[in-house]
Amino acid sequence: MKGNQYDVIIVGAGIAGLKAASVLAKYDLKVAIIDENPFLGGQYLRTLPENFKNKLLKFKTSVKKEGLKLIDELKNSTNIKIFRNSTVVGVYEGDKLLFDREGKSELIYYKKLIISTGAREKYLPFPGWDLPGVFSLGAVQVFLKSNGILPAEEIVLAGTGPFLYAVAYEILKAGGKVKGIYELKRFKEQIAFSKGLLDFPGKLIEAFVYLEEILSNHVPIKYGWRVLKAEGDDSVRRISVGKIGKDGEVIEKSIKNIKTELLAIGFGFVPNLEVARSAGVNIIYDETLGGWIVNTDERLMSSNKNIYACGEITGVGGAEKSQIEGELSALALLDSLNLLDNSGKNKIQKLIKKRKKAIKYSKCFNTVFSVPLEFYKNIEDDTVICRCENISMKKIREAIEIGPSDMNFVKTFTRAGMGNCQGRICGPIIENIIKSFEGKSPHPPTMRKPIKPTLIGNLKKFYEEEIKSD
Amino acid sequence: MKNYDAIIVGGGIIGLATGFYLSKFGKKVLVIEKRYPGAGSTGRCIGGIRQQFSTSGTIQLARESLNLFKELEKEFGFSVEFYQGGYLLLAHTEEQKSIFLKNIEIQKSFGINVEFISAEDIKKQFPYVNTEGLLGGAFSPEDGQAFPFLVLKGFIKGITKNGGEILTETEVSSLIEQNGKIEGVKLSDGKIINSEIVINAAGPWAKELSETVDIELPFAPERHEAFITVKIKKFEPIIPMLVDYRKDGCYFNQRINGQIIGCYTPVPNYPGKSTKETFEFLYEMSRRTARLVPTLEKVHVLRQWAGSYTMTPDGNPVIDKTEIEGYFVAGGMSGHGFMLGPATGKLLASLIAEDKFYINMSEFSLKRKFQSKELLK
Repeated sequence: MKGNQYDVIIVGAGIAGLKAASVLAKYDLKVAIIDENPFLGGQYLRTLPENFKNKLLKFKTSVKKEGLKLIDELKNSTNIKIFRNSTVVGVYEGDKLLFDREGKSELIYYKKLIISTGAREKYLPFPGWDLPGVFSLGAVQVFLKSNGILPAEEIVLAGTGPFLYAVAYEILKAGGKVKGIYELKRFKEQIAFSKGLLDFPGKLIEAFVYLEEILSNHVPIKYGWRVLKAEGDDSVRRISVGKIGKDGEVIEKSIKNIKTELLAIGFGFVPNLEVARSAGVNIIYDETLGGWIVNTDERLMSSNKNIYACGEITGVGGAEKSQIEGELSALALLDSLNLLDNSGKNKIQKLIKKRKKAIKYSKCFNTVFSVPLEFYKNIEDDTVICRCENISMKKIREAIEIGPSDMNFVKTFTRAGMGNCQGRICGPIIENIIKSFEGKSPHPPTMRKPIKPTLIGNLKKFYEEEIKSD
Repeated sequence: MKNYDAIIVGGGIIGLATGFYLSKFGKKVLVIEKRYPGAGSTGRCIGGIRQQFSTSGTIQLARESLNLFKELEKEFGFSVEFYQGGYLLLAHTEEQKSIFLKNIEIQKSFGINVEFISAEDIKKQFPYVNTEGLLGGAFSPEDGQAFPFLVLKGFIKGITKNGGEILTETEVSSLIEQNGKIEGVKLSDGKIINSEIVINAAGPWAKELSETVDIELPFAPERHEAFITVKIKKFEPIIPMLVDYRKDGCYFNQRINGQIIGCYTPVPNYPGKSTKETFEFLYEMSRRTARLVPTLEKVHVLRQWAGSYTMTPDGNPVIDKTEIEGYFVAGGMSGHGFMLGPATGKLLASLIAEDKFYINMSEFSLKRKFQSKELLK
């Protein structure tokens, strides 16, 4: 086997990818794991700078503990090649995977591919959401964990879902102040989610730990409230929040202004499907699992028998689901190569059952914390939807009125999603806007390579390489 | 059931332009598109517009189209990003140069502003071009670009305003003919829509559709690929469409928003309707682009994609009526659908509404022999 050929390539070194790698490491296979971060572990296990370690790592979930152990194992493993700081550009016919690393393009080949590219946050736009000083919850986490600094002394958190509490906890532990948490959903709407937690004691403990910290710091938590706008000349200075009435409209007299220089927002997650789609595997739409997801069988094999998918891209569900699926996909892959003994085969059956439970929980979770579609329908005309191309709600609405309720039509008609981020941010928003007017877009937005822009000057060398190999 | 004066199959540039100009004649049109407007070839083209062709018919059609492009902003009430940055066709061999010189003579006889300029002049006028091995080029400053989706948008709005309709996500499965006359179309869900006029503007799918009424169209789709870069600072002057006619050549320009967009013609061609993009195109296009304008090495590719050219044996379109009364065809645009689209639509509309072409269209007849070759592909 040539140097750039692998039995298995794993894309994404989050919980799912790490777990898959750790299973494969025990076999005589040439494996590569590739991740765009400088560290392994993904967002969930994002490494901590020394000065923060003691403060933040007092509490570790069991998944976190195992993940950190896996990272150490992997670093010492000899048959797993780790590509850090490596951004996948595209998966091409001929089992080719093109990626960029340290300013250069490289090509590697796979026999089997495991894709575990995780999820990204989604948004509900409001006037001023594009101002500097409006962060995603994840971006606050990056600041805290990677840079080891608080992005501001006082932070307001808003949106929906338990991630709000996780980030609030981390801000407080790092010595910051949380000025308030504004959860879109009413408290009673969340009861279904709490019931689901009983199946996952680890998650329940996690929730208690976060809440204890938040409550003991007297952080106000408001349920059924939303951000109406963010204002400021060059950066956020103040925001308006309001309580949502029974009719879904904000109650006028509840509206209040809050001074803040940092607003962190999070409205749940959508799967990162770019790598999977660049490989051409089938996707399906399941609102309760985060929207478009990779279509797999129960063993996580995609529509291409050489490609497996695991973690958030088969349904947004969090760390436990990713851990189960990482192991399941690796074992299923080994089974397809006839490398599993009976105990391995039994393990697959057990994991399939465990996964079903995790999926059930994920569906409940995503349903409870979904943003009502009216909120997308009622976005004000001047609000920017596509930040790269500066396309407002008015233009999106015009496209929906004139043409079919198809993501691609809206994209081509308005240019929303044609900018440098290729619709990563605005795509899921527009999807929901269309849905709120006319029902679901029949097709997902087309996915174009390169997944991330890549240098012309780096690509031309492949001409000489292909000539040589002929 | 509503009555339509004409049904147009295909919501690309040809179908929508034809629908738009027909609706201006007061006709009630229905455009039927199987996905969404521009989902086929038009949305995948790179938006170049030129008059530099080699035969009198195509030159006149292209000239008419350019004149229509100039008017679109006024017509629509918004810009379609039409910009005349020119086309510079490059000659790296004496043979190519002599073809250009011959064509320039014909083009000039139709009043087109075009000159052969030397490699030294190219260096002076377009200092970013690598003139190594270059003998010169044919340059017309009148040629240019527009943004395909904005052009479609204008046609869509115009059709709707003039009382026409556009059905999307709707597939026509066959045409309906009775006693030598067209009667309408049948949709894939079995529904029938009647009209005495049906226009086949289905691009790469036109041939199969026409077979349902036994009219043979000499169309052959083939795959072409393209890429676009991120926005960069505008070159001074903006890069005209540089067309490199070498066997491993390519063509690209800078859009007025700063992006570089381009393609190459694969040798040998890649027949069929596949729109799968390739790794080979990505690196080859990069190599060929950087060879012509070396500073582009430092630019990032944003997207690559593929689309269909619907080729005819002589590389020129078919814009004509057929043996079936009321059944018209506009297609086989051979890669020039966008640039020739407005004129194709307007001419076909005048043929349908007034039973005459206002310029000589014999070169685009369905009954021609298809033996000549368009030299400037």
